[in-house]
Amino acid sequence: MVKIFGSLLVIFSLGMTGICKADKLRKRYEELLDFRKILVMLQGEIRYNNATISEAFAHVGRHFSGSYKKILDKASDKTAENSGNSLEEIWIHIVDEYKGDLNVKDNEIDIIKELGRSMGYLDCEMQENALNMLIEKIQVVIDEQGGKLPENVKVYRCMGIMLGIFVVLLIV
Amino acid sequence: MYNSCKENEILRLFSVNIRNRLKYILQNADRLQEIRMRINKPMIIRYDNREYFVDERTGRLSTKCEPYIVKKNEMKETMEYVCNYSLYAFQEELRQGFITVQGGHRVGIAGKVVTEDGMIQNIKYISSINVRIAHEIGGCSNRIMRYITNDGRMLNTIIISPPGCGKTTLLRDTIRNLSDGYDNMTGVNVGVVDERSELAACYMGVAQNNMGYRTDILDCCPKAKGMMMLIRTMSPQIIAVDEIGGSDDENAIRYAAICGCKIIATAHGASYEELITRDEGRMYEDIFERFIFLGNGTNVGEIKEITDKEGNRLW
Repeated sequence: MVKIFGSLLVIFSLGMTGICKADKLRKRYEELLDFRKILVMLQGEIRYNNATISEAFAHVGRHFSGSYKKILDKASDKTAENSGNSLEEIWIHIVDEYKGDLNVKDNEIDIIKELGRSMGYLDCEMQENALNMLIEKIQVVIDEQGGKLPENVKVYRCMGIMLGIFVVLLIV
Repeated sequence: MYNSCKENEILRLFSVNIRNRLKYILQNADRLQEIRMRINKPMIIRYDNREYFVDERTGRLSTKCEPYIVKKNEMKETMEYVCNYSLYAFQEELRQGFITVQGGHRVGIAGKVVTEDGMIQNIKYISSINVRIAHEIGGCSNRIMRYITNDGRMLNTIIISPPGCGKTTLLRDTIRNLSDGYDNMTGVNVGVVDERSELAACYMGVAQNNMGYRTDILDCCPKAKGMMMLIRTMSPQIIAVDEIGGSDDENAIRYAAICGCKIIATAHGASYEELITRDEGRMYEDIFERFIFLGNGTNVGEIKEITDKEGNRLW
């Protein structure tokens, strides 16, 4: 009885680990999509609203929840303060502060950080082009991840359960 | 509280180095008029109608001291803060050579002008910045109110003086009085076309100066087009514009007068005779009923004379 219970526990816990891994993968993909959405919305704010960086961050932040909202709201406050740092410094500092809450990888965090370098010092047309370049960059990562996502999710889920069964067989 | 708010509004425009030096001076922000920065040149402060340098070591104002020299990177940093890290959002203002910031302060800019087909596209390599501190003088128009009204109704009025004599300040306070109501005159709807954001000093659409309860402002709008828009959309009883001149303004003012709106405006000039010799000179004779001339002496805002349409001196 104890053996059966122990085996089920192992299978369940390893199965759940697989599911969590798959979920993290899906969240990472969604966060990449959200970041692209942020860039597109920032473009809109600049093109149609002629908003300053601070205003644009605040307006776009309203459409998000979780870490991106926190990042955008904080960036909006900090840029409105003129605290003595460059925009790049402010953005990188904030992204570093919240990167633990995000599921994206380090190389993807670097793309997010690039936003601070791409904003603020150009005319409207150049500003849009700079954002376009960043959108293209993130799109490459999205395409790469998106293609493999359903497959990888399935693999992680199955692997978890299979590994559980394998461990049980080894122990028993 | 007010001073500390104004002090912060001004301080946050400057680079961190300059902020530290201006802290002491800004304790009396009300007496500060202008801060001029030029790359590799001393920072010059206009304070109480006198010019001073900022002492490199103490940060105090002085006419004989080792002056604080503005560096190139400080100018760049200052521009970042003036534009809120968003140069692209101020392209239109940069073309005109100034940016209005929170508090209504005016930042004038000079540098290399980029033109295309004779039109100014941008200013780059910004080498000079002039921060003009906004000052409202509440009540400065009280003394003219009885001359520009008749039986509680406003008369078409023009304020005339050379630049820098207080026309805009007087017009601003007159608008406030007309809008809120003064003495036996009840407040009326006033439409303001503020082409250079000097009257209301709008920042992100919000007037930074007190323009009265019943004032509608078209900010950064060409005067002639703005007057037509206001007549069609906001039905103002009074239209106020700063620094009129030229045939477009003349046509718009004549149209507004025909529509039954009263006009209050300012114009550069020294005398009535000089005014009516201009291309639009007939307009001044036909439309305006009161002429307020400001002195160009040391007393900014001093009223030299007020005359009626026939040239009779009332003041």
